[in-house]
Amino acid sequence: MSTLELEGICFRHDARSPRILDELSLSLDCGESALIIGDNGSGKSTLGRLIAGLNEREKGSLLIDRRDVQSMAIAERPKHVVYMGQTSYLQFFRSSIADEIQFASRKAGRTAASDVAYSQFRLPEDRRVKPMDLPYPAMWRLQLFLFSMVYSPKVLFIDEIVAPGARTQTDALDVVIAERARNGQVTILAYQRALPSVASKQIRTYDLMHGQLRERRQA
Amino acid sequence: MNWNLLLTDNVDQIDAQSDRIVEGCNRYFGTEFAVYRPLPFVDHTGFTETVAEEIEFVTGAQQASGGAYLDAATFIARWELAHLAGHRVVHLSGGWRKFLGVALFANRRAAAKCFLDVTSHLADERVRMLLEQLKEQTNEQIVFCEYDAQLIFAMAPDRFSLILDREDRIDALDGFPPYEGVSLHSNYEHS
Repeated sequence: MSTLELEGICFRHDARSPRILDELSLSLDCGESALIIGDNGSGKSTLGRLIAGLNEREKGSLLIDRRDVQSMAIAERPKHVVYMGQTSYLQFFRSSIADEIQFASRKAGRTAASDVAYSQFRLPEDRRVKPMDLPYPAMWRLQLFLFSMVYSPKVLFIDEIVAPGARTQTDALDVVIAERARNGQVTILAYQRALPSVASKQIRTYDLMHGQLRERRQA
Repeated sequence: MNWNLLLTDNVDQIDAQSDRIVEGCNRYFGTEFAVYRPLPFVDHTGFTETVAEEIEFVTGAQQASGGAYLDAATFIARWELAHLAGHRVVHLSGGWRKFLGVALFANRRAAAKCFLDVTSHLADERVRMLLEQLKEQTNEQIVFCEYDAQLIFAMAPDRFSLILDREDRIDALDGFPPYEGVSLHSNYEHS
């Protein structure tokens, strides 16, 4: 049985709208990572929010460790699944990085991640800095750190990779992919185009088109 | 055609020091730049509901001040937005919402335009469409400053002049990068 199992998922915003996801299926095992590539409006964010239980599906089944995410209490969900959205600034709540880490640790019921992990994400040494004052790529790395190293859910959906042309960003992703694979956790990245730097980590690559996922054959 | 790609060896400066970058461009080119800043997804006036209404509203305002390239109907046709015209702006995906804002900004007549971080969140087809539309604006000085300069450069390598942000000034860049920590080696596989 896979860690994440989606079968025949359909989604539309309302009864008059066309289906955005149409009989979509996906199965990822313990420790697997996937890159989902799709055009603007193809349904990447919709899928991510749906996996995290933020969107309600029209039909189909969605199981994380054999449990339907919709049946999980809201407070319980971050241990199982987290959706990292495109608007990082909306997901910071505190006035300093230190407070933000503490807040996330309390919420996740875990001890804060180590200084080594923190420095691997090339985050500022001065943790009194306001998260909202960080440059956009650094803000994204902080969010990635919090979600992968502090919340550390069974399934993490990363919607959009900020500036993957820069080494700081792909290095942080490398840390996440490797660490989560070691922990037997599932990581899903969603982006508009193929990223050879990410694909070389032997993660499964899918195209999202017409509401369905098609796996790319590895070269 | 005056397309410039402003390179920096510290991408963090693009939003942290965007004012300085724009001032540098104003000085270097001797003209005042209109600036596209990607306030994340706040590319909607809030006075309208549908994409068509938003386009009508913004292009109308641009025309009233003599500063629009296209009227609403032509804009929708040329930017291939007809399939979204009836959608509510708030229901658009993040990428399409950003693209709508970028397209409306591009429709504004200006002596010079500076696009800061225009490519992130946009699929290749949207970036190509933007470049296609900008080809018509031959009188304008255009500067792109991107987190992923490689991405846009790879789409039109022969069209861009490269300029370098040296923090205290902007310089023309002679020779092909990698240069001072800046590489234009593409990290992407384009669709």
